[in-house]
Amino acid sequence: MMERLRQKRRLTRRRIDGIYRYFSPTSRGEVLRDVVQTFVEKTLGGSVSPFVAYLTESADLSEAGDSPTCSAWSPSFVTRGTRDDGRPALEPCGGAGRLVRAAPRRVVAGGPGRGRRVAAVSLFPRMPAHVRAMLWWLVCAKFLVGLAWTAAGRRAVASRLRRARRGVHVKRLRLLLRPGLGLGRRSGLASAFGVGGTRGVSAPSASSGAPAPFKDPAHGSRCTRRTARRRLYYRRRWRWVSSGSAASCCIWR
Amino acid sequence: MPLARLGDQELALLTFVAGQGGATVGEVADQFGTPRGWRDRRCSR
Repeated sequence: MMERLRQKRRLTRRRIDGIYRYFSPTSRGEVLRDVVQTFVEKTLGGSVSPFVAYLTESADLSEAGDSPTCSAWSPSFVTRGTRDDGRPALEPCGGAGRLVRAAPRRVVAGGPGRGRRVAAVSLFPRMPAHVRAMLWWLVCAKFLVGLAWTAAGRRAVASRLRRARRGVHVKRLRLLLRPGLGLGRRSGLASAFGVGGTRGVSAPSASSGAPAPFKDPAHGSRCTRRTARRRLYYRRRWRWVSSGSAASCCIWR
Repeated sequence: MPLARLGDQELALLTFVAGQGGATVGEVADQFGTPRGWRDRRCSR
């Protein structure tokens, strides 16, 4: 049988001290996963619904923690009491259980409204699966919205910057037309050609030599009001993306 | 090229070998075959 498995490329053999030793090129978990995948694809037609229906209908399920196969590489389901209709209440244990039970709590702990959601999950430990799934998808949707919003925001900021640069060019032309214009480092002409002063939207204030009129409360530094608004915008977007990334990492961990 | 499908006993044996991290035919016969009642045909003659 081992030679048959080797012909099926499920086993390999190496000669060690004159004796053939057989090895599996894949780990035990990968073997089982491959078998389950083949079963689901060829026997169940790619749908796990019959399998889940079998589990929910089956009464031969062990209690939580009693199953010796309840480990990380062999996710299984156990019963926790009975439902209203008399059928056993199914809960995942092992790898799937840890993932399913821990992920929503960790997922909801990543966002700005984490307090409310953590409180919701803590106050309702037996929260129905569909509610947990809804929370899960909300976090995923938030992540996607955060990404899309950031991309759209970047485009909006880029267009605003372009408009602002056009405005700066107009201001530079006005500076050029101002009478008594010099060619010094802080002069309007130097600023018009981008020499000596700071380029960009803050060029007029920087080139004029006067301190920026606005103090950024987050950085404590003086800047233009536009720069402070832009910083605030990116801080908010970064909060969205970071919490969404943490949530997705928790989901797929 | 897809892998061939496995039977029940083949799957059990493959899982055993994968769990052992490698085994010889003798080890498989002792630790896997004997508890399941498998006998060597040469011994049964």
